[in-house]
Amino acid sequence: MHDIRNLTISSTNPCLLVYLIDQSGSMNEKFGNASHTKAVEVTNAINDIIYEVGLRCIGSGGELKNRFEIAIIGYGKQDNVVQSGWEGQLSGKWVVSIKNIFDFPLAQENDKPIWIKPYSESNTPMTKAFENAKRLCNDWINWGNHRDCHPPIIINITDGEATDAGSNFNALKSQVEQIKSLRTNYGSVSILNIHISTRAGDKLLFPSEVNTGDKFERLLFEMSTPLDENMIRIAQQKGYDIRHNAKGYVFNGNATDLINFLNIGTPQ
Amino acid sequence: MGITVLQLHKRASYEFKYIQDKYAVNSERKTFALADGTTQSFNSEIWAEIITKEFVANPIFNANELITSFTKQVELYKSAKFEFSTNPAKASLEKAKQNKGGTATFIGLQFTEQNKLDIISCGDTNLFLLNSENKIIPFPFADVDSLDANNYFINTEQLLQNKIDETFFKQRTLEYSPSDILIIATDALSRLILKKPSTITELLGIKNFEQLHEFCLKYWKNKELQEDDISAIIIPFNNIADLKLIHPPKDFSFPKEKEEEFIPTSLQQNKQTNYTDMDMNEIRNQFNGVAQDFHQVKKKLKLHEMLLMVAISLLMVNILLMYFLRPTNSKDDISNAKAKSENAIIKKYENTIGDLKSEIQTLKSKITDLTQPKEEPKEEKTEPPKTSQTISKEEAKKRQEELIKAGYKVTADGIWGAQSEKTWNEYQQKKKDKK
Repeated sequence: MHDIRNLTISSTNPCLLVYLIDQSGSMNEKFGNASHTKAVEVTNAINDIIYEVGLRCIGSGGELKNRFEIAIIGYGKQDNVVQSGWEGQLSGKWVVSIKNIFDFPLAQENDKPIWIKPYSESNTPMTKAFENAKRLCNDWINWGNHRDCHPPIIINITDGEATDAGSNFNALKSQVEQIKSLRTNYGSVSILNIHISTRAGDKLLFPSEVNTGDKFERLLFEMSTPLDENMIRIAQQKGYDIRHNAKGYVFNGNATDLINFLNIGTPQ
Repeated sequence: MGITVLQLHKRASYEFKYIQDKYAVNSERKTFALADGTTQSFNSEIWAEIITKEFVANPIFNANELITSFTKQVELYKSAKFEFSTNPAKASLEKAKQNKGGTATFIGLQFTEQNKLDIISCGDTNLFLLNSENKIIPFPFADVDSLDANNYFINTEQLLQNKIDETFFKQRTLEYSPSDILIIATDALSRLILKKPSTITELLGIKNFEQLHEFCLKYWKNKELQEDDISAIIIPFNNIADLKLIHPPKDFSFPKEKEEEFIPTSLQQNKQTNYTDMDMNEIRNQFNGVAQDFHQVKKKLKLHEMLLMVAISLLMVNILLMYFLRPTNSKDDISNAKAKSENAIIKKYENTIGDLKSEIQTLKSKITDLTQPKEEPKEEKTEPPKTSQTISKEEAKKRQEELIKAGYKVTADGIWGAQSEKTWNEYQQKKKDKK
């Protein structure tokens, strides 16, 4: 395996970011003390992070370098349906290069482009979403020179329990384990989880362990991979107290944590 | 060997003009500076160039004074013209990036008279002092981990907001001997040297661009060198008068990668199972529309087929009529009639010929009778009457019976000899005479 520190994410060696967005009915609830819903908060965070990624890719001559390829997978917009989260002219596409993302935004709001809108509709087919992410990552790794690229990063944002996880969540666990076994020459695929809860208080950021009675909270923590060196460095720069073996898991973070988490999960 | 500056841009930049590492050398002041403009900041190469030039023109080794000096240069950086993209989404990025300012690492150094070297640095551009015993003294980072942990950069906006202080800078004064060699390098090359010090010897051996290109390609291929701009200034203390630049020629560029869209094949198949009822209805409607169109086309085709058949039939009837009514038919009839009349004439002539032939035959036999009488008895004695007749037995019998009826005394035995012939001829002559 090659040393990831020698890898620069570039248009010749791009990185795949996969955002799994819970679009189930419960996302219609208020986000913490905010006046808007969890779906709106998540959508804003995703639009912001795409914009941030764009900032990292624009060259001095105004050209966007295809350093990142982004997939948005929505689950729960319809019963047991997992679909591409891209809208407008990107509708139906699974993976879009950053260059094309900025060529086809959905709209412009407050002088900034947006790509997705909030949805909160049906049940939570999270297992199916991870299964799609697995296939997508597998295809991506085996395409072109992607084995010589930064391993894909999957960021799952959810507020609730998967409705298709099977007995003891075995179906979901199985998909996640299969994803963790996928790798490029620079390491394995990372899985990060943002667990949004309506419960107030119990904020948990990048823990190395969890002591909770909530079995789904524990499951999401276990599903998450440890933060790599770069993520730890960025998290520390952003003022987070990161311990050894910290995992890419956030429970009940606020809006800043959400965007910071997405930034930490996006390699520099 | 004099001062050598080695530079090669990263492959993703394609052309040397996009290199974001900038250097400045002032041999008179024995001052050198190298800055690495960060890829993600706005016009970072311009900022890198401004601060290096400013340093060699006005070398300062007091961090706070240097900060002040650089802050004054921000105005110059901001005065650089820039044309925003016509794509609003991209223009929005450019404006946001512009607001964040330009960012660069920096290392500046100056030789003093007493074989001493003053160094001031901010960021991960590193220095290596190589002595005659091949011992390397690195500064400010002695290993890759500490270099990677660097979080300090000189950013224009942070300078204006007084967010950069002396803690961002590292300073040191090194002693050197005239035989020592100094190398300052940007982060990618520094990382390689820290991990693999033997590469310094290779680096010092580079005499031209081809060798530099080969060196970078080799380590990029082995994944030992980061895909980044590569810059180094090699300074032999015993000769700083000469300056040699080794960088790509004007016509050199790295090939652009193919822009191929990645399409996850396994998800494309899966996509087909994810159609909603509305999608299915739409597909069904479209399919029905296509089917209807197809039906119409089929109908038209059938009509065309029928018209074609009728046209062919008419053509065939026409051909047949032309065949039967063609003018050559009447000619045939005439020729047939002509042939018939000719045949009748021929037959008539043939009959006449036949009659003439029989007359000739009769005359022949008369001549024979007249020319052969003396020899007959002799022949009759010596030879029995010949039964070898010129006519058949039945004919002979017939003639004999006719002769009997005419009153001749002959026997109707069917034997036809010369005498019989003579009698017959006489009878025939008489018949003719009677006529």
